[in-house]
Amino acid sequence: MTYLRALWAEQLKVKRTLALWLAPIAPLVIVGMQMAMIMDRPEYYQGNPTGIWQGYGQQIVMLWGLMMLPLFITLETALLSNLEHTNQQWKHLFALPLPRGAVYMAKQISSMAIIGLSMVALYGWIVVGGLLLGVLLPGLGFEQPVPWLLFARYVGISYLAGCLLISIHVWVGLRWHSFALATAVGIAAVVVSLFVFESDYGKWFPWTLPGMALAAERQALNVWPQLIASGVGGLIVALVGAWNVCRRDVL
Amino acid sequence: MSSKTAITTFGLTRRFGRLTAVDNIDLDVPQGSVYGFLGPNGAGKTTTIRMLLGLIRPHLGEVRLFDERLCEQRRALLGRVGAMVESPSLYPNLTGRENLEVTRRLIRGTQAQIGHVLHVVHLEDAADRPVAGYSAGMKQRLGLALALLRQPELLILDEPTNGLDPAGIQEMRELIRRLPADYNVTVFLSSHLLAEVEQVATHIGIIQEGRLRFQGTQDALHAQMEEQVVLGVDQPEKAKALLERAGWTVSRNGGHRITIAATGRSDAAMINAQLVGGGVNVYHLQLEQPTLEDMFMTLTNGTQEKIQPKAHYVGATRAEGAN
Repeated sequence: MTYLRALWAEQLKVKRTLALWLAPIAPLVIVGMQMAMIMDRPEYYQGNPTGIWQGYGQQIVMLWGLMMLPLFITLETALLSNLEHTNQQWKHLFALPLPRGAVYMAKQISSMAIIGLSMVALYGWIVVGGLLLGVLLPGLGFEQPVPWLLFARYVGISYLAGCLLISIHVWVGLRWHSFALATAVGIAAVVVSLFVFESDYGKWFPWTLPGMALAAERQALNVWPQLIASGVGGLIVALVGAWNVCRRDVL
Repeated sequence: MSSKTAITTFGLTRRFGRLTAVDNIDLDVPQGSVYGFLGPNGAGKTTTIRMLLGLIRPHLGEVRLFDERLCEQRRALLGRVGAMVESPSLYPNLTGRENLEVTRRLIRGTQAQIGHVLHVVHLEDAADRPVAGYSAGMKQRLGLALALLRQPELLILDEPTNGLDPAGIQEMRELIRRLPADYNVTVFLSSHLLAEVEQVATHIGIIQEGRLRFQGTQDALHAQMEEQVVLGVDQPEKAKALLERAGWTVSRNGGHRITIAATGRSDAAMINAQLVGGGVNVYHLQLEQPTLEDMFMTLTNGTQEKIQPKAHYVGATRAEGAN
């Protein structure tokens, strides 16, 4: 019950914050970029053997998984953590009669929920974008039925593969007071991930996991190794992060 | 006054690297008291308070709240405590009422409690405005409301008037003054402002460089300090010599003023008679009670630069004499 109460409080804390607004905006940027590319060069997308919907969806989720999702998780968790750092909320929260772990876990779950919300928004924007392209560029193939399940699979994979990243960034954001540090860690890691993506190391670099999982899905390979690594790793990092933050002195 | 204690500490010690911020402190805060925890900036007040709330762990010693060990009963004991440590912890994106609602959800309070504490701190009219637009005084009052939301038996306030203008200080002081009687709460209040503590506290603890220099009632503190006779004379050197020969402890204040440790009117009359008899003209004689500021200076070895002085303590005669 205590953990649920902490989660209930988190829901109120994000009211009127940029963190909440970013959830639908971040995926819209990616979908918008993909739509612009198609409208700019529609001839490249004609005669796609796998169907225009699938190619369009795959390109969006790859852009999302490789670039936008790690950056979005970085920014989102830094903003949510900053809510507690700005006015030194820790000295209030940790002096309340509730387990410190409840406060940490509520932040972990609310971060996962908001990023989950962005996944739902991504799903919606992909479909809306495709339908809009069908109107704007008739004859390209968007008149075909929407592959609902395929897109759900893409979005689900990118979410599960991002769980480890969420846990890492929740911990970084809560452990250190600096917003700049929290975002710098994420940006630096994304830059590194672009270099290691094709290498052997890239397979297990947390910031490449969403991209790797989506690439495996694209090639009809087994995605479970990435998803299990992300899920189990995310759980372990969340528990260790909670232990680390909760036993620290509030100075 | 109950003999039970709200706060007891035994040998409380906390170090930061080589600095001992709090050094072997034994606090004893009776229930129902307003305990003023007084000390210069950097004396160890906030570190002590954070240990009282379990926010930082002591290296040595222990904290007991309501005679129970904090380390063993943390949640149960914190449920009886309300606190505001330094600046109030508020979410600027939320309204005053929503800020209270966040804490209410965490502590399983009732909606009625929110309305009640808003009423206590006079924030009902501004309750539905975002906190980002609040003045410093309003934020401070909302911080106090957050601390009161748990209907605490013990209220711990760390520098509650920090950053407030004179009107805000007065308002906060009035609020604190009426809390024990109106809400049956023990108040532990830290401050570096002598006036703030003297006007509201029944008990005083004075901390300097991490050590507790004094602890007791205001009366006990005053009883520790001798009265003094301040004289204005035409021949200060001769007067000093005369009085010292008669066995008085005399100090020069500079100029034509001298101060003698003495008690009561009869001592003052005797001193006057001895000086006049010795051919010294006395044009000013005043029997002075030491102020809290005097006591503070004595107990903390006169760290004046760290203390914000209270203007009305420094009377005209003493100001003159200091020159």
